Amino acid sequence: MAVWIPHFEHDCSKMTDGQKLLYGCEQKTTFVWDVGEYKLNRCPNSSITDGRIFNYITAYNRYSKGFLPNEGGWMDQSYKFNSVLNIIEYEISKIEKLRHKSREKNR
Amino acid sequence: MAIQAIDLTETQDFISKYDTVEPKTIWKLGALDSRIKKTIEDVAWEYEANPNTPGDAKAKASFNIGKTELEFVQFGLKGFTGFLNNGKQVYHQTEPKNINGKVYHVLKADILGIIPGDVIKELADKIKDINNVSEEERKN
Repeated sequence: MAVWIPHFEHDCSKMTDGQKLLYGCEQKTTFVWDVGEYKLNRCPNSSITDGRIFNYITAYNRYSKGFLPNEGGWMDQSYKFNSVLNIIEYEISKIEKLRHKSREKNR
Repeated sequence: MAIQAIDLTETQDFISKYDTVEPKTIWKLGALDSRIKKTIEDVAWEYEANPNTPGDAKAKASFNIGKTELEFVQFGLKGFTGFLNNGKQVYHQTEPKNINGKVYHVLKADILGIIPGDVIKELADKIKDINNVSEEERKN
C-alpha cells in the first residue's frame, strides 16, 4: 500500500473537510480506492496501520541508489529485506503498467 | 515491538510463556541473512531416492522439524540475560560455524543443549515470525 501513495498524489492535510469525508481520510467512505489487488474504503494514507513500514520504503530507495543495508552481497542481506524488495518491486511494476496504460489511452 | 529485520544487528527481546520464575530470562532474537535462511530450509527437507531407479516407490522424503528448530535458534538467538542452569548463571557464548564458505559465530552447541525443548520450539517459532513478511506487513 505504501508504495502506491505517491501514485495517487493524495495529501490528506490539503483536503477540505468535505473531501476528507469523501475520500475516507478520517473514516470509511463509499468511495472505492483501487490499490492494486486491494479495494479500499479509506484513503491509502489512512490505510497504513503500521507506520514503521516506511522504513522498508527508505531501505528500498537506498537500495535503488546502490546502497544495501548490511555489508556484503545479496546473500548477506537479511532474508526479510530481500523478501520485502520483491514485494515492493512487484507493486512498482503494477504502477508502471497502469501509467503505461494511461499514457497509451491519452495518445 | 517487533523488529523490522532489515538490519542484521537488530534484536528483539522475548520472554517464554513457560518462564514462571523471577527474574525472567530475556532472550534476544534477531534477523537471519538469506544464506542462513536457505541453509535452514535445506536442513528442513530431506529427500532420498536411488538415482538408478528414478520414480521408485521406495523414495523417502522427510521433514526435520526438530533439527530445523535447533538451527533457527542457533543462528537466530543473538544473546540472553538471566538464564540459569541448576542455579548457575549461563552466559551467551558463540562458536564458529562455516556455511558455504562464510564463517558465522553462532550459539555454542553446549548452551543450545541446555535450553529446554519447549523453549527451543517457542524461540524457533518467534525467529521464523521475525524473519518472514507477515500478511499485515505485506498489505501495508
